[in-house]
Amino acid sequence: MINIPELITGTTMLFSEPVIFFVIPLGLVIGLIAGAMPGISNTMAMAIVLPLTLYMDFMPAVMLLTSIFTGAGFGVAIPAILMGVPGAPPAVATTFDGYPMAKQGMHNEALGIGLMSSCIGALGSYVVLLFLVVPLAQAVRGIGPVEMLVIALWGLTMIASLGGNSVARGIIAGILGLLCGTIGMSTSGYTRDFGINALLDGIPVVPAMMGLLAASQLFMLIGKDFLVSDEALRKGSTRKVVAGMGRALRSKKALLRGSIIGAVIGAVPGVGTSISNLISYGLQKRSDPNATVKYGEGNPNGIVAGESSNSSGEGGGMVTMLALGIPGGGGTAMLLVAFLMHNVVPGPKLLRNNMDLVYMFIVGNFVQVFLLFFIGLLFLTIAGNIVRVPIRILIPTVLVFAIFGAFAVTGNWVGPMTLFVFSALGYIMKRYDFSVAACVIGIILGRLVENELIRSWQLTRGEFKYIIQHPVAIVFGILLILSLVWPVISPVIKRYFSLDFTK
Amino acid sequence: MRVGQSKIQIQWAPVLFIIFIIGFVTYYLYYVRSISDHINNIILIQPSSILLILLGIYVIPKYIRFEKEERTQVAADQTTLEKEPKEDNFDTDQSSGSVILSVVMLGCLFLYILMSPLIGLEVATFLFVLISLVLLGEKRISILISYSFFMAFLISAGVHWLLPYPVYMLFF
Repeated sequence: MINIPELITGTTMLFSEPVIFFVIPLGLVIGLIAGAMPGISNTMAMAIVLPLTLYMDFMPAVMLLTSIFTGAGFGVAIPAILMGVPGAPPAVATTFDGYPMAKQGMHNEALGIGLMSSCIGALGSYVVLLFLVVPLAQAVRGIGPVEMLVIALWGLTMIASLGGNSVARGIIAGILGLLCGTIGMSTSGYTRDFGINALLDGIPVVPAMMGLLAASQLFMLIGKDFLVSDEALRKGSTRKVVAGMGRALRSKKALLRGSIIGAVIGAVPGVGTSISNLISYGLQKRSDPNATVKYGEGNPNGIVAGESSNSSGEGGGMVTMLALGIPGGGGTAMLLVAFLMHNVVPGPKLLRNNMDLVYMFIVGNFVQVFLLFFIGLLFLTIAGNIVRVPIRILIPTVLVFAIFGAFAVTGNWVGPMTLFVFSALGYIMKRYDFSVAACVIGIILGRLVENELIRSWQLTRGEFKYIIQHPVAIVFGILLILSLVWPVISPVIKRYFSLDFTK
Repeated sequence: MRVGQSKIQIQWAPVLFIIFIIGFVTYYLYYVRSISDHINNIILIQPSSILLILLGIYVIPKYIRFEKEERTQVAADQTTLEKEPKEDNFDTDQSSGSVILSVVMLGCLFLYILMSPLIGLEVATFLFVLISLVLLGEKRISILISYSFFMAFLISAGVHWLLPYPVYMLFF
């Protein structure tokens, strides 16, 4: 499980380089700033810094890049909470309750909850990585199209619970998103682009997501003076951020569930944190049907579920990168490049021959999470003041940044145009009470579900026995069904046991 | 609309929106099937589209309200079509003035995107921020000019430092 002498060697190597105490805070600040700017992803920030690391030693170089990764992992939650703008797909679930809390003047607490959940989630995933890097990597190798399909369907079940006042309208919005996600060239080679070349690669997800959730939200604010009406509640307060951190610690179940889901789903290449935050949020919502504050209206546990899972997905993503040499996403791909630039080749050989390097990497990430706790606190005290900006200034500012971010994602004007189209669609949907969040989930998962459905169909030809031969798929399938029926069966189970107990 | 002794009230805006969605999805399904009706092409799209169309047909009647003429308006409100509570009053209760302003702002956003490649991103940003501030009620000329200039500068700096892609700029 854990090789103590190698762990000690790795830790000694790490702390023998005092430069890490300079590069880690620097990387965290860069990551926090990049994450807080919608559209400027961790991948882009890492890509900008990557050439500089060529002239650094291996350890500081990797620590700088991973701290950007860690900082941005939490940074995306800041605009998600303060403006309802998810800078990246992993922050989508954070907007569901974070933004309503900000509107109620509880932005400081929401940010504190987000920071603490992120730190605990990331910490949890690295603990998992420390103990289970080898077995988890072996499990990941067994994941095929059927397993991926079940995971994607699990994420998709969120659509039904995001309908708000009408499940039917929620499902309509979700399917509309799902169909939008299938536009473009499919893996089977069919081009569904309406004759528009720009749509050949499909609808750009991040600009569409920003348009649906953020820009449409901003237009809804027209007519208001401030995001938070009460002047006394607008102030940034370190005390309230700390109180929010304490509040997150009280949601032990949500933290644990989110961290486990993030670490496991995050290890699946290509799926990772985009789905894990939705699954975690969906499970949290279904397991707490009688919550005092409804989910989607500012329930702190919603933020805990989303943030703990997307941050723990970070450690999960490292599993496949370190143990198999497979990058699960853009951020881990950048790390892989940094490893290769310094002649360190991740994969089974690294685990066999240089476990000290792996432990050094993991312990370095523990240090990052510890420092994120303090640097994030300072950063949030400043960021929390965004709610003091008048709406008339905030709207054009955020729109300009959103356009810039959309351009940055696609590299041409297709991104901003997508943002505009989906802003208009989102505005109409919001006005007539259709769930824009369900539509976003549909867009994120549309292509993935279709691809995995085709692959699964090609492999199984609809024969059920194929699935029986795949235990991982069965486990995920059982979890999926349990998560759906749990709200129905849990009161029955509770009643049954309480009756037995009284007898 | 009146049918016998009943009065039919239709909330046209959401109904038209759902009809638009159904129309778009029907066209998309027809378009996808015209490319190929092989299972690999329609495996997800066909069942999803049919489900959406059926749900749309199910939802539309909820926006149609039948009222008996002799009823008072108050009683009618209580007994007829289920009036669903709004998800978030803060968001959905916009005055008609704010709705018009939102549409105008959307138009400005469209022009901003359309004009940027033609007049330069920094100039388009300056004009967009300036016009938006005026529309949203900022009256101080010093703020209008200085903030629009600041945003244009910030975007120009961002383009030069962060983006590896070429972006047309008029001055910077």
